[in-house]
Amino acid sequence: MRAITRITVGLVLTTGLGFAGASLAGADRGDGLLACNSGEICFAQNSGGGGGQRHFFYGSSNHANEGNFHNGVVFYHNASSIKNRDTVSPVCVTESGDWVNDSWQFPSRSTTWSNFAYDLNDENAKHKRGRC
Amino acid sequence: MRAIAVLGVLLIATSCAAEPAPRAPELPPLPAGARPFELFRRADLTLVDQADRALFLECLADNGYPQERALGNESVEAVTGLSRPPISPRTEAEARKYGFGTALPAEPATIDRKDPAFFAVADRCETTAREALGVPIEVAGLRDRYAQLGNALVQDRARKVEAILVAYGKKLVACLAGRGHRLQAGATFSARGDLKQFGITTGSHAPAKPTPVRRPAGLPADVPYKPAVPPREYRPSKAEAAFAVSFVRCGQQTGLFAAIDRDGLAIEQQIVERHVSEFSGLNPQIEALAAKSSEVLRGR
Repeated sequence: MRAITRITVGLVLTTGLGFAGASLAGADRGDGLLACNSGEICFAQNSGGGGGQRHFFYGSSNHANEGNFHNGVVFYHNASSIKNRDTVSPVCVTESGDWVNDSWQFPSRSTTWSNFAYDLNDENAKHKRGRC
Repeated sequence: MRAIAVLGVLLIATSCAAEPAPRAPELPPLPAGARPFELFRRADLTLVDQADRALFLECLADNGYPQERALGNESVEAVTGLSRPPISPRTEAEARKYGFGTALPAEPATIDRKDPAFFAVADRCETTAREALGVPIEVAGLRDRYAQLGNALVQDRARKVEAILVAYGKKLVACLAGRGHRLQAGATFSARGDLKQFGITTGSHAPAKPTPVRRPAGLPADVPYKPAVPPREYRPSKAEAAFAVSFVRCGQQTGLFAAIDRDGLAIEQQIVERHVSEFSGLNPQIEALAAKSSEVLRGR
């Protein structure tokens, strides 16, 4: 099932990029471009910033973890990496469990993609601007 | 001729023997009584971040955007997950007051820029700021890598504590059931799940009460400005608070809390040993950068 999903994702991604060029279109809450730019909190579907993109301007009124990556893949629990280009604030990302403290805090003006490499499942149950 | 060749071989052999073998990375020394996680120089990372931001805001101000600097540059603690216990609540008082939640930290005032011209300046100012601290790409990389190390410590510890929670799962579930908190029909206990598995609806944070402040002088009227918001308490639901009290009692009764406390130091030690090369390589660098940051902040 996962393999089929991946193939579908690949097809959607190829098609999407073919038509949309470097645009994120409706999935984006940031500047609408595929590149992760200054002022955005950027999540990527794959490690190292690969695959689907979903970006949020820090002032965006909608930081909900609903919706999809730009390639149509569900965003919730599917992010594998993050780059925080917010100019001022860190970002706190948490898993959905209520029992154990397992927050991630990413500094502002970061220049590298950080992988959620310590989890069997992908992360990003929720995120918010500010320290954890 | 033969003698020269023998001498040459001897010289090469001697020089090879004198070359020290590469040393395995070692953990930096810890003061007596310190916990292994104190190897992580959290205060240094916080200081580096504050200096980096001070220089960045200064550059923005010099390039036509003084309003960001006017909002101030308060220190923002790095990797705060490390300052919290791995599991909570641990006392009945905590359970009644906070349930399983935590307060939201204060939010600083924010100027909500959307103008590409601003972000072009911001990009340049990141580099300018880091030039004052060292080689920009190295400063940026070190800051990111060290924050990732801190996150890795939090995550590694969480996985170990989850394993203890799973090991005590049956006892915990039985104890909670004895206090009237049963798993939902057909559910099995998940240490990574939320309280819904026990049919508990959690509470929420107190509503945000933005601090009334004037817009920074000179900020164009069409640029949105969001005032600072003070910290917000978490208010558990009645059911969550009651469940949390039972969790504390069961945590004590089943030996769960004792096991977490007993293994706490060993867990930290195992984790820092797993990250020995990062600590060994990055600690001297972050300490040096923090010293430089301290100089930068002095007088600002």
